[in-house]
Amino acid sequence: MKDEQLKIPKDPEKLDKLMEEKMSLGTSFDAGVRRFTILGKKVHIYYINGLCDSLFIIGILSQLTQLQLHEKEQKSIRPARVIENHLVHQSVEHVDKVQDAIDQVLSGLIAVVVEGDEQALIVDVRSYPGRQPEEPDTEKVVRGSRDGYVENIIINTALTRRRIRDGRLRFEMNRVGDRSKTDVAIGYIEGIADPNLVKIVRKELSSIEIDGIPMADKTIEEFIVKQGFNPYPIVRYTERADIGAAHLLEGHVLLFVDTSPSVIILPATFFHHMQHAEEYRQSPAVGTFVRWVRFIGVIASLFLLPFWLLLASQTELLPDALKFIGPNEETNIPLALQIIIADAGIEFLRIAAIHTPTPLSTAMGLIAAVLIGQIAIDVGLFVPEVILYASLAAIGTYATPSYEVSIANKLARIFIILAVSFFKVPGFVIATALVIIYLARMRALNTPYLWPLLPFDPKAFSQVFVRRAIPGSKMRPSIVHPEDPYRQPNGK
Amino acid sequence: MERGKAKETEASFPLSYALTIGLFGGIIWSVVAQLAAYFHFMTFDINAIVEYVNIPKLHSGFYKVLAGIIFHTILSLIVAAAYYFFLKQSKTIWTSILFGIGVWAVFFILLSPLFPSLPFWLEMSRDTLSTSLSLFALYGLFIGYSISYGYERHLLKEKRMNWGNANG
Repeated sequence: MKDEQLKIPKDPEKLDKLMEEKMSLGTSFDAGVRRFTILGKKVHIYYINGLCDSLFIIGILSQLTQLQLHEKEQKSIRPARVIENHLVHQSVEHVDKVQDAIDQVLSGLIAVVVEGDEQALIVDVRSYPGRQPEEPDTEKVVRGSRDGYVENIIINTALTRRRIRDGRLRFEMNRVGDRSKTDVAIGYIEGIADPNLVKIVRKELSSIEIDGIPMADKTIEEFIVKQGFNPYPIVRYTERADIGAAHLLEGHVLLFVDTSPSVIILPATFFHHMQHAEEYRQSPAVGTFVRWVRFIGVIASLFLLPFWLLLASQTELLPDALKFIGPNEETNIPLALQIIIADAGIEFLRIAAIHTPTPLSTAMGLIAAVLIGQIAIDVGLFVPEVILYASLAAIGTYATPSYEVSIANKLARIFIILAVSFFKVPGFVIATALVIIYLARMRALNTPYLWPLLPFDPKAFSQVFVRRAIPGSKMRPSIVHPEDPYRQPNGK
Repeated sequence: MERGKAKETEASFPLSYALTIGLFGGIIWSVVAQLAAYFHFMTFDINAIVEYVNIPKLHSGFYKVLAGIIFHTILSLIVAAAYYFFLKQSKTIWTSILFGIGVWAVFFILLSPLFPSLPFWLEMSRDTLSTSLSLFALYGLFIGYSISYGYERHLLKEKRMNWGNANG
């Protein structure tokens, strides 16, 4: 018989042997077994240290051990059934294969095996080490809920369920990884989400073949969307439960991956990455204003530096009204090189700030902002304009709500800067056109990436630029092909 | 209600869809073209055509730009209609880009000998040539991709509708 199909033996001692072989019982210090004799039968309890709650187990055990007192009157019933009836827990499952029992024990459940019974009783006493929901660092808001997803998939689905108490909201559990056996849940609302999309996601998930996914959702993303060397993100990540719920209601599909505090939103276009919860927490007018300013920031992060470089190196392009722009001082280093050095410098700071302890990074930021820039100008390395425009572009980068898009934009910017420094105007226009064509050609799970700009959809485009009041937006966005296009059931 | 809906989707793909795309495409890309001209990326006067109209107020300054944008938008409607009639079945975005370059060729190779205000492509500077080509390629992409995608969606919807009728 194959190993996978091995049944649980009648004698728990034999199971001990099997466990020693398959679960490293006795070798691995965190795997344990407790042996009892209850009602005259051998009872073994298998567990993993640290993943289960001792208090629960003690509670269950104290019930079982008391069984011996009034066992006599129940002679007619099989001891295994008596023991099962006295497991004081709401979640008890039967498992009859050794491998399944081991999987469960390794997930932090306990397996209770009774002599003479060819099955294990799996009791869910899991208690994973983890933190409480707190506000995610990358998606802060002034107003709005402060609970974010955590590393535990059960808490994450619960946070979502708290916001949508719909029986049609579904979380389909899958296991990914031959060795890691990580839980991945597909979340969608039946009747809104496009069934084809759900089918595709399900198929892609089941076809993943890998030993483990310690990098959780990012690995799943790479398997599903086949990213290649494309820097632009095709899915959106969020750590905010309210954003997750909002997208579910729009007909998106969410992927929850255990051990990751971010969930994947599928599909996501470029303009999905431009949205921020803050806009929806302010009045529509303010939200619209914020959005426009943000677009200006994003455009600046892409085009400001190359455009300035172009105008500065070819001043005859400047219209009369803007003649003052451009470096007024002599430069020692070509402007393009200065810009690239400045950009690289900002990138150094960003990289360094990620893994520098907070007290140090404050000090470092000060050194960077005040000293390096000023001294670079004093020694003649940079002209002041380079510092100005590089900083503006950097701030534009940070104003991009999506971290992934902001970094991808940075790469596109460097590409355009290089094109400008080599080919001037033709370089600028052709590189820009190429970036736009490249983005337009991209498809995120059959969704055009630049929708609703390319292909153009006037109605949806107006919603990108104007944050509409919720009572006024009756339709779900059409791009995810929702089965039920109306948000307001009676408001048709 | 039910009947009206069915009728609506069964109707053929409307020309008005293409014209809407043409309208917005014209506005967006002529504004971009004005900006490019403002920064001397293109050295010829893109609004020169306006001077054929005998209203002196339109021959300079802001009104000239505005008249230029309106004129280009009207042209854009015709271009969008042309795409609608000949190329809407196209599936790839490269057709759209080539279509844009084709429109460019019509203006700067075929029509420029007839209109003195349009430069002939061989006489253009490198800057003007690359900018105008890129603009037209993106404009073609906008018009073509949008119309083709709309058409594709329309067909899909119709198919679903028929499928629903056959089974219901």
